[in-house]
Amino acid sequence: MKPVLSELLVAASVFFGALPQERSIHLLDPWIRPGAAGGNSALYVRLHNAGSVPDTLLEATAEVAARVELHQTVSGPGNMRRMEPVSYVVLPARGEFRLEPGGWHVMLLGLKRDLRAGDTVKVELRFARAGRVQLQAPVRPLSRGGRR
Amino acid sequence: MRTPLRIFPVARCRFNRPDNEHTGAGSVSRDQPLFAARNKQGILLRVGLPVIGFLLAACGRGPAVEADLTRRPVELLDQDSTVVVVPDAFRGQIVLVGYIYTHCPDICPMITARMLEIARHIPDSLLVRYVLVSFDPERDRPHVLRHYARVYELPESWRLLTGPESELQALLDLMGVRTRRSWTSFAENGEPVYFIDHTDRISLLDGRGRVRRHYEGTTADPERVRRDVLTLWREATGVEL
Ligand SMILES: [Cu+2]
Repeated sequence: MKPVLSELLVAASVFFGALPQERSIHLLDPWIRPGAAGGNSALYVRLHNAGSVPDTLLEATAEVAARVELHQTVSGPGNMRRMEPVSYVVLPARGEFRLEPGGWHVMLLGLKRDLRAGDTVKVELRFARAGRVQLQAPVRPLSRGGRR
Repeated sequence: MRTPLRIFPVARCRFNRPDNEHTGAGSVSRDQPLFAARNKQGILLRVGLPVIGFLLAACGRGPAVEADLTRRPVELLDQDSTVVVVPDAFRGQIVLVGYIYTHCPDICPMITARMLEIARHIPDSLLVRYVLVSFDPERDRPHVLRHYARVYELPESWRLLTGPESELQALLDLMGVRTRRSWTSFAENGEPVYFIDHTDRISLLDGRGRVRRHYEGTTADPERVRRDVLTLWREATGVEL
């Protein structure tokens, strides 16, 4: 009886996980860099997975940007820094993956308007299991959020 | 008493040798003899306080010169399209220089944010200048830099510099900042998109156009930079603050 019940629970969580009401993915403390029209910006957010199985962030879209990519900043010898596109980001089960300065970010390319401190930007993230999840990120001034 | 005589020349600049980001060879080996000497029991007592005072006074001259920008002054433009000759335009002023490009939304804003934090640690009365040098002259025209400064709410007094490729490159070479263009993809209109790999660095210039210290840009300790600025101030004016 017990194994059957737990299997049912897993099946249920997978099923409901696909529905908007029963998200296992929580997007915490999102914020975004200022940016100039035509330029780029970056979104940072804590990706929290409350579910019992890992999930994967596959892509993101935002009406404010011509294109959106997932990026990682990598360090090379002699303090060289480089941004590289990544194809996905894995969220561990009952765990968190942080997009933060100097690490990973959602890269907004080709901004259609200026983003200034106080503005809010809508971004949609697509996860392999949880599907599409929307967030509203405030634009943070440079005086906050410069830290690693 | 041969020992103090032997350690004096080696020890002179020990207190001011950079301890973070040094790419220059030689600084480590220069320090070693002092460490060896220090391990000898009681050496400080034998040398005595007057000599220690002398050592400290000698080192009050501040950090070693990393590069002399007066050897190759460069003519750049600021965000108001005003010609700025580096280092001549900043003669007599201590300058903090960061290196960025405006299409960089992650590392470069971290460096700029560090500069802002450092600026908050340094008294305005020292008249330190804050400069951001773009290494992307193709896209970062003066008006682009001006708009960027507004969007990022940078202080009006900061100078954002760009200019002809050859001038910028000459400056970056003297500053030890390396850049490399990386082509990543194409925009919707077919235009190629590039990013620029670059050295993460903030540099400190004295009032004579000489580079006196490099810091890792994203992690530079504002308190440490403040101390270095005070040392340069004392070196130039003789005034202890
Ligand atoms: Cu990026």
